Amino acid sequence: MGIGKLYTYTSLPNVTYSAAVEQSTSPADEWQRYLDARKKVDAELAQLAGMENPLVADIFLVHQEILHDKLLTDGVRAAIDRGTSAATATQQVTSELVQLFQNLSDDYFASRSVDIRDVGQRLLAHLSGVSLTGQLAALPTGTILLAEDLTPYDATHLSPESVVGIALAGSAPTAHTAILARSLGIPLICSVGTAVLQLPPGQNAVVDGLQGRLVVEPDPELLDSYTQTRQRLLTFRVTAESHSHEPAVTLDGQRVLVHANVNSQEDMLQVAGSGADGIGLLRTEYLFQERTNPPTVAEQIDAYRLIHRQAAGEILTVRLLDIGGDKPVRYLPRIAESNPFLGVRGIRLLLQHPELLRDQLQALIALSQESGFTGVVRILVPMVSKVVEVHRVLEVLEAIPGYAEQHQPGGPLQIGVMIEVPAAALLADRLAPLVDFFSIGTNDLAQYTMAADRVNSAVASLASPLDPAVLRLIGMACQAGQMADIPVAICGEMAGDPSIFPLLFGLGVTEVSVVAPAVALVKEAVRLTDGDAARQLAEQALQADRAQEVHRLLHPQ
Amino acid sequence: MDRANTGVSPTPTEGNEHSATVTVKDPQGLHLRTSKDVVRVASQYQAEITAQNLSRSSIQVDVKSILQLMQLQARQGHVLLLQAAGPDAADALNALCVLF
Repeated sequence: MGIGKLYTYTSLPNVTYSAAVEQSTSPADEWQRYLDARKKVDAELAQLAGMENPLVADIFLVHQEILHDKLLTDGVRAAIDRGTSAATATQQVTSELVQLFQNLSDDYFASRSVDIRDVGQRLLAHLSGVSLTGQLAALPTGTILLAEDLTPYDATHLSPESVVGIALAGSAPTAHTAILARSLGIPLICSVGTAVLQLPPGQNAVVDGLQGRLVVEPDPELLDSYTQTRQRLLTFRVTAESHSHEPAVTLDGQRVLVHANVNSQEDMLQVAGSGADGIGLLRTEYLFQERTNPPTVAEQIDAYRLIHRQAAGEILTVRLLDIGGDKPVRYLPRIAESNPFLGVRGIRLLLQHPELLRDQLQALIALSQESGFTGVVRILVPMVSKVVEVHRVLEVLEAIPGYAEQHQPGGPLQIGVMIEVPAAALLADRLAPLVDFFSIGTNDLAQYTMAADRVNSAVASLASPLDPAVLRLIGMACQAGQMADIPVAICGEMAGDPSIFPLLFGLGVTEVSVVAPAVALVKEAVRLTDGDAARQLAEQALQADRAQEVHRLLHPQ
Repeated sequence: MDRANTGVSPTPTEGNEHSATVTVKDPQGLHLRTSKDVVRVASQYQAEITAQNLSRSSIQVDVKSILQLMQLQARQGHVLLLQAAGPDAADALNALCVLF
């Protein structure tokens, strides 16, 4: 919810560098200036690439590669040696490269000129000393930004202090910019149509992220109600953060564990102070990627132990390596698949490479056996679609010495399956007796249920986890969990939205795992939830026809 | 797995020079992310490595440059000729072949 004044932003299509600000010195000095600027851009990109969302992170890794590319570097060096300033050389060489790419015959490759321009923009910003997105940096507080679309570069220069809301004429909620804005906590709505770009700047407006709309010049009464809502949200946040380290208990006395999702060692910086009860989802891909050999058992034990210690919680949930054709690793043969999301990934891949599976399981069992270990190691099996896959994992486990002793009721080792394929939800009553817990991955469950790719902006809105079809599958998994008396956790993005918690609780979810910044908010949502009311809400939601109806149940006007 | 790409034993041409042909298997072609991986792997080797898109009769480009690789405009099914020269040329080609 953002309330402020409209400002129309035009992303400059081709930055022209003003020669007025530069003073050319010797080529050696100019080259040094270029290297300094490159170092700063490199650091900037490295930081951006460390972001939680792997979809976004990848763009910045590619941009880093472009930044250090020989064509760019040699071109700039040659121009500087001819007596050009570092800034002009950068401007010239990147423009030439952009031109070169634009002239390529193949559209995909031609459109990569955007990426070169993006890197050029960053370099020039440092070289010229004036920010080329000065427009964005200099916005007054309380600005509502209107734009056709924003580049990732633009988005990383937004300041949450001044920009209180964004309305984009184009773009879709999954586009990179939207993901970036969300991570900054700026309310953003998309696809509002180009008409908004004609709105006179300076008008009062509200970006209502809850209802997904832009209200221009709201009448005093409506503005008042928006102001109150915003105030309520702010108060909620403040209250939540002051109780972040206390347990979350519902009004009817149910303790709900609120865990954190972790993608990398760096994420632990945020987790430590978040108030998380433990780790509900450690994605282990970071240990396996960007290297030429898989990590050894000893390396893995060290990595898991470190995370568990830093989290200082009871439970450490480790998802087994979940890779597939879209994110290959060097030491496994590359599999050509026309649709990697329906291909050999997760447990399917691990069962084809038993040595990888065994090593990871062995490391996790060993951690639970260590003398200083306190708590529970939960092993989470990804991408399960058949009961036999669980049987096969259990067979591998049973062949590892020590497994049986560790895996006892009340012991330090538990095995669970990820419910992220509709087949797993439908067979949840068959899976539940075999395992110790469920974890529902709603991002994939939604996209597989709706047959809609969540990174394809044309269909992404179909893949809403609030769709009654998805909710029914979540409900089935919860029911099966309840029958078998095992915890049912949820770890998709939807769990991080505090307004959705009552619905999930009503469906039978017993634990949640969310990104670190959401832990306090979701804990507070737990404290405001009443079991009976939640179950009633879930009942209504399961009878809805579409996601929008469910949305209205959660946010009554 | 693609036999043609992984079954390649790089053919020694002269001294420390080796070459191999690979077929692009990715339905999206040799896109930015794969190219980034190719550059990163190639850069771990001392050998000079070039690629040429035989399907487009392109010029030879430096495999250690992402901007040059992109100019191959390699689509699924395109055949690329990789050539490496240097002490670790054969290893470099072996490591690269599986990426396409």
